[in-house]
Amino acid sequence: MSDELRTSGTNSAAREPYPSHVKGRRLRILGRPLGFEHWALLPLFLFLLLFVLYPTVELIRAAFSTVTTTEGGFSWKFSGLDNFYTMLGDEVFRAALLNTIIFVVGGVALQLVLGTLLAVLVERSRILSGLARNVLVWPAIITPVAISVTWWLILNSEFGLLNRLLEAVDLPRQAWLASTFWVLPALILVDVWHWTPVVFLLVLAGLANIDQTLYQAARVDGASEWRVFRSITLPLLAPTLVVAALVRTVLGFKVFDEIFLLTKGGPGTASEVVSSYVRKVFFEQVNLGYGAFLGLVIISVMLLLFAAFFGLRSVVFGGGRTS
Amino acid sequence: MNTGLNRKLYSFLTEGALLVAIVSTLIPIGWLFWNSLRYSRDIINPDNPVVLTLYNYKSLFAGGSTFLTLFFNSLGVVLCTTLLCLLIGALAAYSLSKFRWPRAFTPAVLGIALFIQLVPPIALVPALYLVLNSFYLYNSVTGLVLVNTVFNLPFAIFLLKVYFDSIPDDLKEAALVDGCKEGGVFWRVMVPLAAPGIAAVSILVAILTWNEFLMALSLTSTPDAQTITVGISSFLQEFNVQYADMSAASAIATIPLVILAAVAHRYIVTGLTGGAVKG
Repeated sequence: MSDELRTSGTNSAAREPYPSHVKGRRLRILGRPLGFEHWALLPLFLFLLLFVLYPTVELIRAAFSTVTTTEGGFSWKFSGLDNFYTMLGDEVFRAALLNTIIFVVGGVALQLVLGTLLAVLVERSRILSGLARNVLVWPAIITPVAISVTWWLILNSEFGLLNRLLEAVDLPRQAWLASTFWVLPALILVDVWHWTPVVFLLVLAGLANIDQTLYQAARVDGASEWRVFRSITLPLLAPTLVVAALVRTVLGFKVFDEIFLLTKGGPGTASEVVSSYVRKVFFEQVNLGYGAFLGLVIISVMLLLFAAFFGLRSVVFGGGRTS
Repeated sequence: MNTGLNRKLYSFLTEGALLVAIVSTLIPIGWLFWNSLRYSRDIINPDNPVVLTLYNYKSLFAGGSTFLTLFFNSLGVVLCTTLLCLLIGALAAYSLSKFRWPRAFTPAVLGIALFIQLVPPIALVPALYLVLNSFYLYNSVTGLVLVNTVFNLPFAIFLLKVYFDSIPDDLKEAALVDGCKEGGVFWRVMVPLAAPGIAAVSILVAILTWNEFLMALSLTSTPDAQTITVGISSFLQEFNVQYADMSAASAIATIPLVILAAVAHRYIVTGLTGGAVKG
């Protein structure tokens, strides 16, 4: 990404200076006469100011305050690091954080494996390739709320499809969404069904970029299919897989809809994740300051993750890819 | 001989595995549609004889039902959000792509856009509530349009900038030399050339907005402003699940998406992969 930005910067620097008909104006912004490019950015900036900058400032302010609701608004009282100390002693948040990490790591790992497998299969397939390319994408665009309903109809302990199938082959039923043991695996299953398509599509695009002559050369040399996959496909796919993992991790941390609808974080705190817990702090405990602090912690974690990713990427791929 | 047999076995295994994947994708969706065609009492009593009916769909859309309001609210939010995202996103992406800005400016704007993608939306809900409330837009379709626009703009800008970047600068210079104004260059030259990108962005923003749940749940309080996703969630209450309504409503939310997936597959793929890679 930073590479791409740098190139676009040098490109524009090489461009012709400003067209003549705007040159005479007096008002200058960022060292340039006011022109179409400024007006074009104005709506975006208004939006960013009102809906991103202001909420972020409020979030930071609330994170270090005790906020109480009053008639039609909130009243703030600065409370320093109180919310931080609350967090340190908050076992539910700790459980939510741990659950989120298990959910994300488990889900993303399975999605990477399955998505890559499916993409490789689709590339090799002759008969079902077209159908698979289309159908395997569907879950990624279906309404998450509808997906939750769908899986509720499958995982429900009384008359869900899964338990009926288990019963048909004489296996014991399970209370998938009501058991502290099964609830996270069940939610990971839903997430894998839901989001493997995105990994599948990214890997498919990555596979299309691999030079076919490499495969031919390897086969001429007598390499087995597995060897071709391990020594050619996988190394060349590595950058794609890293991006896929990052994208899915970011989205995984935001997971809300399915958890909220399928389990509400229960039983107990067995499937509580950070988003569902922050919502509870906001709406059920009406503790806006503490909720904001937790929100800020999550945002910081995401930013750190991102910084680590770009740092790692420049170390791992930096050498060969300074285009 | 041996390799020929091997190849046949490989191809058989490949197609077999894909068939399993396709079936596993379709079974849950099929199960939802199957249940949406059954009465509540049959859904909870699997041993009842199979009776299929369109009753659930009819009752959802019956005169005076709130679901109809929610449905049109969703359509309105989708339409306005998509248009607003395209307008603001295309203008901003074009400005960043085809004009000379100070060195750190474009990365900074894209960085903010990236930041929006990273933030879990729930963290901003109280502040967004305050913003909407101060404009008397809490519990309004307009409010939802604005909030959805914010969360979809980054994606629109990233993808459209890629498309504008791929259009040669010469075209702009040529149009300017021919006497076109900057605005004219944008509308008459650049926007038509970026049409595939605009199509991909529209379709994906429309889908994501149609699917949006958290903001609609948190920033509305009555059916006047609520969307179809909030309606579905209200059928799935812990102690009072309305099985049939919830299945039929979910099916209604899903149908347009499946049609879109079949028809506009290419744009969806562009949107999902392009947005992910650049975002």
